[in-house]
Amino acid sequence: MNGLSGARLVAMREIRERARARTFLISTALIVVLAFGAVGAATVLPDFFEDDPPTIALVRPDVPEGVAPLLEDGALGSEAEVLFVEAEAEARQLLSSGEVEAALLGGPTLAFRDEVSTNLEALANQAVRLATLQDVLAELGLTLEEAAPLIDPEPLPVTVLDPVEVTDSSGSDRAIASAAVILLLMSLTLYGSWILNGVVEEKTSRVVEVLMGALRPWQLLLGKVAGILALAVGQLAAGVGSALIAITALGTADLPEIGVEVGIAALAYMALGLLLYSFVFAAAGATVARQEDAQTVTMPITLTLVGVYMLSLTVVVNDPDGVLSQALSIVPVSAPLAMTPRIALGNPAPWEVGLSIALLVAMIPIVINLAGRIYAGAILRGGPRIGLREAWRSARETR
Amino acid sequence: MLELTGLRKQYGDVVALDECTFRAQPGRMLGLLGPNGSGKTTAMRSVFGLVHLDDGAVRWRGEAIQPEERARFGYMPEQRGLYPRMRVRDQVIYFGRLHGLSADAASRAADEWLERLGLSDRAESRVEELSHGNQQRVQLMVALVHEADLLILDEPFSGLDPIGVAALGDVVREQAARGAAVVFSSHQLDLVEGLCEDIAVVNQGRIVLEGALDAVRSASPSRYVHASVDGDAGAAWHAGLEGVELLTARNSEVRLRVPADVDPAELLRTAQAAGSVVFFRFEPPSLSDLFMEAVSGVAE
Repeated sequence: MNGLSGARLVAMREIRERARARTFLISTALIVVLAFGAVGAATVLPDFFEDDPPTIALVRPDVPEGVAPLLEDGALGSEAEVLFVEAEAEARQLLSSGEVEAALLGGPTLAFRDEVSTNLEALANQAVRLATLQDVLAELGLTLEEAAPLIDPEPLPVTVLDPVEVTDSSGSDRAIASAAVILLLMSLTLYGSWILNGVVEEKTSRVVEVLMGALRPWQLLLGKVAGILALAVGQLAAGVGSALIAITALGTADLPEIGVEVGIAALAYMALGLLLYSFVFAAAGATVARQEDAQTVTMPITLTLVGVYMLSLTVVVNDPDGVLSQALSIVPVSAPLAMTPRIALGNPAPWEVGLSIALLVAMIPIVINLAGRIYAGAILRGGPRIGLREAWRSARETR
Repeated sequence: MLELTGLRKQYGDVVALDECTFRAQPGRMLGLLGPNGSGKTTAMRSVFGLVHLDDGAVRWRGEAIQPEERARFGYMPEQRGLYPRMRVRDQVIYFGRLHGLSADAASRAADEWLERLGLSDRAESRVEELSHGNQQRVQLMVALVHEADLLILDEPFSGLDPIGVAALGDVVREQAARGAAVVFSSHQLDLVEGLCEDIAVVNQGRIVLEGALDAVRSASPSRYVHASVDGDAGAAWHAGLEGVELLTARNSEVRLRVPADVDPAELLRTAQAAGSVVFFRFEPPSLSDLFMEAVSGVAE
């Protein structure tokens, strides 16, 4: 059997056994639910950050006709909902109970409850003026079209000589960026722990001794990581697929553009991050003698990831183009978590994105090499936990 | 032929193997015997490259073992080495595939072995749900599924009931009959005696006795007498004989170790002179005797 077909058998077993385990089915279902939820949230969130239009009560007999449509259609730059009442007393009552923000009384007079909303005042003014304008124009013998240049002249063209870059970080963008960082951390630690536990299980059940009769360590390592990453891809595809279905079903054609861009960046960095960290988790698992030690040995890896995660949620989200954010998004160890929020909220230069990807791509084979050697040196060693240096040395000794 | 030559392995201050040398032939069964901690397991693991030897060589058909050849071996470690949560049939198939069988051949072989070892009804159980004896059977199937050229079985019979021992013994014997070289370790000497053509006894990392069982027995410097003599002087009939060592005595029944060149007819006459002989057996050493001789240094 050649080398790769051995690794393929290992990967196939990994996929078959895990795919029918309850934990896998539950986590996949969870991802699908999350994807639907995220799309739903993305549809609702922008509205959430915008206020509902205010409501104005109009006393029907006293207010000129034509005011109501002007208030409602938003043509004047903002809009208000209109509630018709028949008597002024009724309007006052709605106003004091807080059901309407303003009331247009006979006169016409604009009434507020406790403080004046300048927006609403301007809107009402314009609406009343426009509604009465047609009558004034008719008296002057003009149509609305003829009077248009007088009433609504073309605005002056505007130019800015040295525009300031605007970093658009609305509330929903920040929510999307933070969600991406959380998802990235979750996927790196979740699939990392699958690999870790898989390696530890093989070692502690001593099945690795029997496997080594037919396989070489690198085949077992490669097959295990490939199998688990294939499952990860499957789960992510289920997530992305559900999200697409949800978008179609909800008819959310106008998803925030940033969502698509961040989604692509997150998937790319997830792939690179998984490749980088999977083999590290596998090597760590190989040095463990008992399942209980697994968490201890991965502490440095987990702490690194959580540290980068916290920096991404604080530093990168608040100052996406600062020096620390730049560094975090380019250094391979932190780039998988830190670049995506920068893309969402800042303006990383194309060369920065390119460099961070190039460094990751260059780093991955180096890490695989180092991790493979530690794995090979440690996987067959029984007894207590094995130090990295010891594993490194004995890798040279075993075949 | 499997040859282990001059194996040395030291763990810290503990010498596990010390110039350990023996061989196993195709079509024959070699019983690897030795006290606990004598180095049997280390020697067996070295065949699969699981031990980094300080010195010495393991050869198969005269050459260093390549991974492709190693895949034609079967290994049953002393402690369980199976995926606890994997189903029995899947597990056997998986190992068959790893050892080079096609998917079809592997599932056919798995079904045959499940049938043969009486586990067909547990085919879809997880290994961890099986009893010790049944897990042992699965472990053996994993070693056998691909019709190995060489079988290394470390304590394959430990913890099995007599019926299980007999069934597994038959299976292993068949493997040798079909041409495989079989090496197995055991503390059940009577079992080894019944199964093996060849033996090798390890003590403190060295082979202290090796060869075909018959040859080793006849080459032994000792013979054993088991006799019962009635009469006043009966119990002490052997006293005063040169080179005779009393091993056990119960009432008038004795077991003696005597030099191999003693004339049994002479001994019998001495016994008859002392009283009436109830029974008298003169025989080459049993495997148990050989083992004790070898390990206690009598043979040297």
